[in-house]
Amino acid sequence: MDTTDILRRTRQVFAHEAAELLQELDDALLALEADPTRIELINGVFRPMHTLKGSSATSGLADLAGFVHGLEDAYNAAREGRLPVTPELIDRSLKVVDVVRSYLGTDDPDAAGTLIRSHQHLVARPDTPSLTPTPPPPMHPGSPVTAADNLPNGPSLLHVRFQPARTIFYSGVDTGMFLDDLRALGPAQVRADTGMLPPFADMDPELCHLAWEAQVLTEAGEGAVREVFAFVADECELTIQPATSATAWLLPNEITFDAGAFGDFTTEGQEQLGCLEAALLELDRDPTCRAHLDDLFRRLHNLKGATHLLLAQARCPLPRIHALPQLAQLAHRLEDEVDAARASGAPLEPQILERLFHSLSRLQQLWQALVDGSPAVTEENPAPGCGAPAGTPQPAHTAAHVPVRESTPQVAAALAELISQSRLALQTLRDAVARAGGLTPAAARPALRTLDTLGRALTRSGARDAALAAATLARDCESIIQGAPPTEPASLVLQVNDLLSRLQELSPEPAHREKAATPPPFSTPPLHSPNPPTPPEPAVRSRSLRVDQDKIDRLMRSVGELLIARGTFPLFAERLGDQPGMRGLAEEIREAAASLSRLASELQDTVMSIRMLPLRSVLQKLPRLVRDLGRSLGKDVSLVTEGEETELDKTVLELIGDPLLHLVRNAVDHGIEPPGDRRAAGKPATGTVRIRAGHEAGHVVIRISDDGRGLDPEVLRAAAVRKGILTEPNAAALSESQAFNLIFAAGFSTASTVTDVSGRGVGMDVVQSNIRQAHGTVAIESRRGHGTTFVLRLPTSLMVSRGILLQAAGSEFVIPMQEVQDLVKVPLASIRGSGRRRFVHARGRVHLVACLEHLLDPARNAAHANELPHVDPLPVALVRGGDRVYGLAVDRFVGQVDVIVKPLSGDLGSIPVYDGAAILGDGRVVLVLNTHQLAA
Amino acid sequence: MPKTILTVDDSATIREAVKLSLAGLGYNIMEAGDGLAGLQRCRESRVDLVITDLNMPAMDGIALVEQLRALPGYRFTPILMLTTESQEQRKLAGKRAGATGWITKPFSPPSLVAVVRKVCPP
Repeated sequence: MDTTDILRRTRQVFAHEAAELLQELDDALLALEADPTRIELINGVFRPMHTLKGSSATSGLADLAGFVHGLEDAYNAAREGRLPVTPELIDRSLKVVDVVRSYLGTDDPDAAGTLIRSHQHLVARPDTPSLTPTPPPPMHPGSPVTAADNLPNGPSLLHVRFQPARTIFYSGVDTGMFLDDLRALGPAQVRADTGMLPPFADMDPELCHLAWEAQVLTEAGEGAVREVFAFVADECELTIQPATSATAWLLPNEITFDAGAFGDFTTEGQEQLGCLEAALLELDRDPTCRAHLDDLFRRLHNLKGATHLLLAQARCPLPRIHALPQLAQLAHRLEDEVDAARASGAPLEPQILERLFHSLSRLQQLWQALVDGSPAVTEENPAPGCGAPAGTPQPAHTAAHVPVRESTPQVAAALAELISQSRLALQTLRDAVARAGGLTPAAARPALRTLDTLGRALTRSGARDAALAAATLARDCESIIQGAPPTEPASLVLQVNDLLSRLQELSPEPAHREKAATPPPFSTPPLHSPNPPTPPEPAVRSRSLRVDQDKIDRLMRSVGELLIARGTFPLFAERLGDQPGMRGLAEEIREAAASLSRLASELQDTVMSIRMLPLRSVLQKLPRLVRDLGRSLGKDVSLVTEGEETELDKTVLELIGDPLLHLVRNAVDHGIEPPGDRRAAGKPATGTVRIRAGHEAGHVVIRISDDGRGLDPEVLRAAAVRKGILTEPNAAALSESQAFNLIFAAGFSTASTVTDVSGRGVGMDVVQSNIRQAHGTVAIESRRGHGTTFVLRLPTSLMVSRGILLQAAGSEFVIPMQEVQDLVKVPLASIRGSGRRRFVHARGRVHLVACLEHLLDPARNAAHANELPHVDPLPVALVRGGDRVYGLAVDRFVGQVDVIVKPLSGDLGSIPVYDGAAILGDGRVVLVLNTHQLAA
Repeated sequence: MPKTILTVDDSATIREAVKLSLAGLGYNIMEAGDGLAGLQRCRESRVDLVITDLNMPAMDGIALVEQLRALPGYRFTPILMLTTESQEQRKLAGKRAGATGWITKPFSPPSLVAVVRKVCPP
């Protein structure tokens, strides 16, 4: 039964009880009117009134309870002789009884509430100064408190110290109950004071050696807190004080601030900080720029405003260690400083810039502390790299001793940003050199500025080789500006390329996208800048945008259509070119089409990159898993990961999350031996599980390897026979790698005991099916005693893929490229066997060959079962199906195509041999074959 | 055997609310309309927890606590006072009489359950 039910059913009982109580009140009031001084008669009114209040409150009728409460107070005062019972009081009381009666007779709670409110004057407090206001009893959570007469304005943070008498346990008191009640008053933090604990040997366990300190944010006021401890008032020392900034504790942000106000603040502040950094970097490049100086000032001003607003909205005093006041102060000081620089009109001095950079680090540090709800590093002990202490302008002569800045992630982000911009500038420079056959002073000037800034930043970050390369190039630029004989263009380009590749090493940008973005040397200048590389993590966070995945998918679809549409223009050009006198126009169309095509490809790359996520997000969970698992199994295992930044499409990434987990789990559980066995085998006691990810031939390849005991094909074969998966002769016929693949069979598990980690025979088949769903493959390499490696080969994206277009049964089909191992043409005479078992010898191996036409419609083609097409030599595609490779005999190979695979819907969608439909460049739609299903 | 809880209150509403709040937790619940009846119940049968009001006709809560503590077998029985009383004096009087703790009226069902479970686990 939930609380609402309880209240509803309680109210039914209350209705009866209240009717009786009201009758009792009527009688008692009339009796009291006759003899207003008799204490028994006053009690006779007080008791039913008190009961009525208590019962109505317990039934959830807080408004009624509050209403009666006002009058009850008056009779309590009369009982204690502090208030005379006047005819006027009796009169009001009788009216109250009538109001309560109509209240109970009203079904509509709103109308009942209105009724009570309109008669509030009846229960106004008696004007007796001696009457100490009692706080209203705490009401049910959620019920409106109408008797809000005692509430102070807003919550206050109270510091409570509760030190029970040492003998408190003798009276059977549980001290924890009071702390629970204290927490019921509002968000609270409680700390135990263990300072009085005697040495263990001297401790009397029946005595209380503890005291508690608490800070509670409450609207209830000091009286209510005292009330909590009333039961032990004679057995404790209790001090209650409003907390001040000197005594306040650092409370979680959700207590200190209103969630909405804090959310607004972080959004605003994050933006201002990001822009601040960008403005500062711009200024570093060009200290004379007024616009950036103005921008810097504006950002600081906004940041200051936001911090002050939040300061004003804090619900309680902030402790000295709180980051917010310091943030506000620093923002204010910087604003003044930048304003002064603005007023002077002179370009920013390098020392000032340097100081601003340091202050920015400090701002970011304070910001992080504020967001995390952690204490700000005190001004006296600045963390390494945080620069000038807030509040004390750093004297210029210490500027030379400033610590290297590269330590903070923010600076790393700033550097990455700078590098990415410099790369664009360098590419432009290279193109300019290529176009003009040498470097002109006009092109050298902006390049020199870039190189100077870049060189400084690189030196600061310790990238000496890259800094040197930048300096060399800068010298060349300088001499050209000064009119020296031009450097050989080819050598210039080489230098630029050298610097670019060094920058690429520094930048966290994954290599594969970079390849697409960097035009080859001496290419025509790009029509627009290539994708700027993504800055690393912190900067991404500050500038990221949450977008509904559907929108991205929609965009992706449109881009797909665009890719298809571009294919029509060359056809037009071709037709036009055949017309007399139209050759020139056709050529122009071709050129326009080429640039459109380039744009579309780039758009496609960009959209695809949006869906790309680094593998890191999946790998992150693993170190903990390995550690815990190793510990529970009594094994020492270390996890090494490489290539975490490798990016994969979100869908692919989601599909491989579980398989990775399974494989790592298996490696720790089955692969790595216990330390004793390892030592006996001459291996280090600590086992290693290594995950390496990277790009290989257009795929992402993830290798999960362990240096454990490796797989034993004999054991696997035996297990397969035992479990009835294979007959003994079949098992014996398996090659080593085929035996390894047995572990992917559903229900196969070789673990002699089922542990709670792995070994239930589920998992490995899930691994394979998930990887297949991601259009990937998984292979096993293993050496007994040396370990096992699982190789996952995955497409980077599921959206666009390459495929082989082929013709069979009078139609065209596409086979995804990743499923095709080879395309061969074999003389019909060389095909052995007959019927269902035909073999072809190709590329050094023997493969089963099936006729595609037959596989697609076995029923209709039953008559000429697996009759091969009469084409000589016969085109055979060697494709992957399950864990083997087989040949698909077709009529003709058409060629290699870029396709966008769309899922099939309706009846077609339920046919497993088709993966989807592909749209070709000329708009034709063909079906995509699932080679795994075909083989099944 | 389920533990027995006795709710002593002159208000039927409150007794009902206590009963409903503790329903289904495995307690056996008894009621009494005032202190005297409550004492009688405790004499007649074994009670494992008493939840009593303070202001009641016939015998008030504090007197009930005093009497119970003098009763054989009730020296350590937990007794919770259910009260809207805000004066410290009343609470202290209740404690001196031997009450284990108190619950403020009006109580929310979950908070009552929490306290009851603490002093008298089912």
